[in-house]
Parts: sequence; C-alpha cells; structure tokens
Amino acid sequence: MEVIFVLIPISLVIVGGAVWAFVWSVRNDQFEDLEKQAYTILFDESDDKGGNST
Amino acid sequence: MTLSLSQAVCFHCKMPIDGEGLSVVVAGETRQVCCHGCLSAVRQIDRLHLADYYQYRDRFDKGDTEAKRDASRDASRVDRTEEILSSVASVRGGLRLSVRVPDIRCAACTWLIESSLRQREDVRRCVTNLADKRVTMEFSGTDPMELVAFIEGLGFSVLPDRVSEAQRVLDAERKSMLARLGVAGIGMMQVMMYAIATYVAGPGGIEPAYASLMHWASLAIATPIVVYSAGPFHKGAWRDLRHLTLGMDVPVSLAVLAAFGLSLVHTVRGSGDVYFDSVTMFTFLLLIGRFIETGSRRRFQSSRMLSDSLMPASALLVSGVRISATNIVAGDVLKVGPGESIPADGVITEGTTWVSEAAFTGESKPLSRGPGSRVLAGSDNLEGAITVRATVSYSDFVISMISKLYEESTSYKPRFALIADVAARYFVAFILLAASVSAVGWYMAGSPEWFSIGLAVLVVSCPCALSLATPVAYTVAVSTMRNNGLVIGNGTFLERLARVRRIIFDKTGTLTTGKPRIEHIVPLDEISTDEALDIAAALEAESHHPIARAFERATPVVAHGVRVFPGKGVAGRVGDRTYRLGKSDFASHIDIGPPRQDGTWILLSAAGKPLAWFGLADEMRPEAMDVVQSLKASFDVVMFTGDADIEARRLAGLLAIDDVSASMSPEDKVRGVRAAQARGDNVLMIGDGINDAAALAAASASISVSPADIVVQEAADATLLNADLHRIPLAIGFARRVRRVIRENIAWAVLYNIVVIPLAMAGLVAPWMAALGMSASSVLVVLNANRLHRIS
Repeated sequence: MEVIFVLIPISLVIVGGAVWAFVWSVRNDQFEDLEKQAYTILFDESDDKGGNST
Repeated sequence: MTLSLSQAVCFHCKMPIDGEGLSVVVAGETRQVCCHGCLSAVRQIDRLHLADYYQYRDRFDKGDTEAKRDASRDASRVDRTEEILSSVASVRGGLRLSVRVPDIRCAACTWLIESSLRQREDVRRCVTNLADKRVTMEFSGTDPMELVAFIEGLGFSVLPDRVSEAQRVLDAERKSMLARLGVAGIGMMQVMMYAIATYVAGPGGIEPAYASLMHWASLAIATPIVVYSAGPFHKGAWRDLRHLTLGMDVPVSLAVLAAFGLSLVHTVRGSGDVYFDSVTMFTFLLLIGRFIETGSRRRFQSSRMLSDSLMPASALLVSGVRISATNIVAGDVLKVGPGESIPADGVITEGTTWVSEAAFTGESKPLSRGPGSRVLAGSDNLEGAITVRATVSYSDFVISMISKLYEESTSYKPRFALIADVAARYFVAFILLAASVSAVGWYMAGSPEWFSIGLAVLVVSCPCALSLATPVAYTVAVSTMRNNGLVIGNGTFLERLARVRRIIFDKTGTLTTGKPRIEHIVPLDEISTDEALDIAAALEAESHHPIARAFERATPVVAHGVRVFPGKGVAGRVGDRTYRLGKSDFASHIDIGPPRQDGTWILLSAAGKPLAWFGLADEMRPEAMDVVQSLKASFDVVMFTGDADIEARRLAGLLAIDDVSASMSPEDKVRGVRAAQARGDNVLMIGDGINDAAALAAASASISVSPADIVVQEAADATLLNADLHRIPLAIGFARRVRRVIRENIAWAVLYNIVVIPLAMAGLVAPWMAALGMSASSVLVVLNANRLHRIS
C-alpha cells in the first residue's frame, strides 16, 4: 500500500493539470457562446480549403 | 415574363422580387435574386463552396426575411470605419477585431460566416457568438476593413462592437464565475475521491498514516477552492458586515470558513473529523446557483445593449452638415440613405422606402413607408433614399426611452419584493441564531455530529430564493414584452394589467387603421366610376393629406397645375378641363348635400359642376374583430370615440360591442374612465391620439397604439409599437402569468425554508444535502422566472 504515497501526489498533479486546462479554456473564450454549439453537430465538416463541399 | 415571377422571392434575401429580377446559377441550379447586392452575395457564397448555407438556413431560420441592405452606399461609413478601426486590438502574432453583426439570426448564419472566414489564409481564428451576434477574428497581414467588407459581401451588415461598461463588467464577471465554478467542480470531485476511501473503510479502518496523507491532499485542493472559488461569498459577507447588515453571503461565508478552519486544525493535529468534502461540494453547488443568476442578468443586459448599438452615431442634415445623433433636436431635417439606420424618430418628408423595425417589434417583415409615415430611430432604411424630419429630440426617441426603461425596470422592485428584502435580513439573523442553537444543543446532548448539524442549518436555509423571487421574474418579463412590440413605461404596469376587468378602446386609429378608404362612389353626371377615380387619383397624387391615401392607385391620367387648398381640397387641370376635389362647398357653387349622413363625403367637380361623390370610411383593423371577440369572453369591452354617433354605431355593430359612447370630448373620456373606476372596475384604456392622452393617464392601466405623439406615449403605461392588436390579449394573459410566476416563486421560497430548517436542526440533513437543497432552490426560482422568456 506504500504506493499510495506516490499515487496521491500524482493525483494532485493531474488535478492541477485539469484545473489549468479549464481555466485556460475559459480565458480563451471557449465557453463564450453556449447556444451555438448545440447546432454545430448538424453541420457537415469540410476541412479541405477550397475543396468541394456538397 | 410571367405573372407568378413578379411574386417570386429572392433566393438570397427572401424579399419579394420587383419586376424581372436577376438570375444566378448556384450549385448547378438557376435561382432568382432581386438585386445586384444579393447576386454578388450568392456568387461569393457559391465560389467559396458554401452553398449549403441556404439549406441550413431553411432548416434553422424561423423568420421570413433577412434585412437587405447595400452597405457600400452607407453614408455613415466614415464614422463606422473609425470606430471599427479603433476597436482593433493587437494580440500575440497579429490583430484581433470584434464586430457586431445584427443580421445573425440562427446557427446557419454563424456557420456561413465562420466557414467563409476560415477559408481565408489571413484569418487565424474566428469565433461567432450567436447569442450576442458578435464575430471575433484574429488575423494578420490584412486591413481590418477588408474583413468587414468580406462579411458584408456575404450579405450581412456589420456594426462596430460597442460594448457598454456594464456589459464588460458582466462579461468579466461571468468569465471569472465560470473559472471559479470549474476549479471548485474539479477539486470537489478529487476531494470526494479521497473522502470516499475514508467512508468505505469506516472509523479506524484506515491506517493513520494514510488517513493523514489523504487529509493533507484534501487540504491542498480545498485551500484554493475556499480562497479562490468561494472568494465572492467572503467578499460579499465582509461588505455586509462592514455596513452592519446581514446579507445572504454571511451565513454562506461563515459556513465555509468555519468548516474549513476546523478541518485545518484537525488535519494539522492529526486527529478529529475533517469536512473538506462538504466544504468543496458546498462551494461548488452554490456557485452553480450564482452562475445561472449571472447568466440571466447577462442575457438581459445584452438584449438591452443590442438596442443601443442600433442607433447610428451620427446623422446627416439636409444642409450637408454631419451632427452627432445625440444632438438631434425636434425639427431637424435629415438625409437617410439606403442601407443606413434611421437616426431620429420622425416623419418622412420625401421618398418612399421599405423599413425594418424588427428591433422594436420582433417583426422582421419590411414595412412600406412613404411621405407622412412615422419612422423610429434605430430602424433600418432598407431601400430608398429618404428625408426625415425629426419630431422629437434625442432624449425622447423611443429607443432612448427603451434604454431608460431598462434601467428603471431593473432597479424597480414591486411592493412584495421590498418586503421580501427586509424579511431576508431578519431571516439571516434568525438563521445564524438557529445554527448556533442547534450546534450548542447537539454538543451538549453529546452528539459527535454537532458541528455538521450546525453547518447544515447555516447552509440549508435559502434567503436568496426569497429575495430573488420577484426581481428575476420582472426583469425577464419586461424584456420579453419589449421583444414582442410592447414597451413598458412603468414598472407597476404588469401588476396593474393583471387586475384589469374592463377594457376601453378608442375608435379612430385604434380599432381602425386611421387611414380612410373609399367605400362608395356616387356618379352625379355622365362619368364612369373608373373615370372619376382616375381623375381623383391624379389630383391627389401629389398631396400629403391623409385623405389622399384613399385615392392611391395607378392612373393613366396626369394632372397639371395642381394646387392644394388646406382644409378644403385640391384643384388641377386634366386635359383641358379644370377639376376640383374636396368639401362640397369648395368643389361646387351649388350647395348640394351628400347622399348619406354617415361617413365622410368629398365631391369631384369640373368647372363647378358636380361629377361624383366619394364616400370615405376609416377601415377597421383586420385583426380588430378577432381581438374584440376574444376579449369579450372575459372582459367588459367598451368603445369610446369622438366621432359622430352613426359612424360609431356602425363599427360597434360590426364588432358586436354593446357599450358605445360617441361624440366624446377628451374630458368626457376621462369622466367615462373615472365612472368605471368608481364602480370598482380596473380599467385598461387603449388609445392612440392626443385626445386620448388624458384618459390614458387616468386609467388603471393604459396602452398607446403606435402613437404619433410623444405626449400620448408618456401618458400611457405602455406603448404598442407594431400596432398589432393581437398583442393586447397576449399582454394581459402574460401579465397574469407573470403574477402567477412571482407568487409561485415566493410560495416556494417560504415553503422550502419552513420545511427544511426544522429538518436540518433535527440533524436529518447532511451538509452536502443542505448545499444541494439551497442551490436547487435558487436555481428553481430563476428557472421558473426564465419561463417568462416566451410570451405564450
């Protein structure tokens, strides 16, 4: 069970990472418009620039 | 081409096509469009391989027309360019520009704008916001105005993103709230993970070394949550205490700090219970409640701001001088080009056009406007160049009034909300007392749970629901009304409207359109009715008198040397004969009486010889019948009019209104209203003219129907901007719903607290349950109020 002395600090690091990622995304306006995102699934994706999209 | 084509609608903007239109090939199919602006928009969209937009639009867009404009001719462009350029900010590796695109109507529009911009090499990032109708771009190596032109090329109009200070504050608040919420949420989960291990093992089931390790880990995570996430609560509580009052934040902050402090002591000492799980979860749940509340306020703020951004910054006088819109005074004559926003409330003096008042009425269909028509500042001039004479000064524009009303309605608190506020203060004091009594009581009874019971009592009570109950409902209701064309001028209006028993309609201009129509033509000589109409139409073609509208028709005849005799009629030459059209004593030397007594009769004569009588009648509003019938089911419907008895009875007969008073002076109308009130009825007065103003002010509640005069608007509690009478029964029903929602909210808040506080004091509620209950209770109140976003 001594492994827990390693696992718990690791979990703290992971939580820190998750918090950092979340705060970063809030700061970068990822959560600005919660209305539009619901519709985006209905749009077809076409990443090729200038390619054909029907 | 064929006749059906003339009724075709433009493939791009969906406006009816006048005449032949233009055709364009999109995705292999030929489509009709109305103008070159739309043609180039379609071409650009097709060239970018984004023709899917049309298909998406048909799926998502519920409106029927997109405002069409040709921004390239926008005379206020110089202004706008400056304002847009000044809002360009530099970010790492490029520039960032945020603009407002009021035409964004649905997700399809955001898709089109984003997809088109992303195809450009110079745009690095682009985000469109559907709720705020805003596009934010990060780019490098391009002139910002080129991007603006690019978006306009897609058929959208672009406004500078004027963000008010209040909005900026709310945006920042929402962002920081979201960050706090996220930190609390993620941290809470992890702390719970450690705590569960302890719970599963049971007391003493876990080696002290491991337990201590997990306590320290929990402490590490809980500290930022208590300090950062719960920060707003501590701040609020500190502010309250400094001002020697008790607000909602006091028990919350106290609970968080007490639980955290005790846990901290126990962790350091290595013995005793820790409450990190309760503290974190509690903070998280409370923040959810706060977050929803902020969101609701932000939505309100942004709908308000949208109306502000509609106003053009400057206006062009006919003299060629450009003045700031805030300096417009009554009497200024202004030039408005196609595609521009109208800068002032006023009357069109020259030119005809299509106008969109969607911002005021929610009605996106363009309205035809010509000389003499009233226009509102902030509405869009879609087609022709017009000249507008301002009838009021800037601060009296409907749009300025709306902004003012928004301020008032947010600060306005109905009677019971004030009581609730005071009650909430005493309530907090009571809660603090109850919590300490419970904790001490249970401690003396020897319960090890005494601390969590005290905590639970502190946390479970929900004074927020009590003081949120009414203001939230009111704010939502006022903005919903506005979006449906009814601008509320007085906060208590909704309360009073819900109590109305008797409804008084004014006749002319309220139940009728106020625009006369030809009802009868009586030829007196050898002249056909068509001939008489043609001549009359030619004579009236240049006149601006309301009566002239009745004669509007395509006529093959041209009149020369037309002279207008104010208050009498018009005279002019057609062919080689001189005609007169007007009152019988003006048109004819011989005094002849009209064929019937009711209605307005005017006479056409040639060289003094009577030719034909025209009987004019004011047309009933098409929806008046429906509306009166539906109102009669639950209200006493009455008609007041200043017109002659016969005319009034005819209309009342059509509408089946039994209670009619005719030939009334403005004082009679006031007396009529007072008499009904003396009988104990709450009276709703609906009118439009100066002669109704006093009665509107006297009534228990009043609505003015697209008034032409600011006096009328100010006398009435609310103004119906789109003159659709259907909104009246809707508004009454809505006012009753608002009242019901407020009552529900208050009832819920009271009931919740009565039930839950004794339970918590009895030790039946764990602190986390208490937090959940309290948050759920506030969220419920806010969500219940949010139901008022829809009018029906």
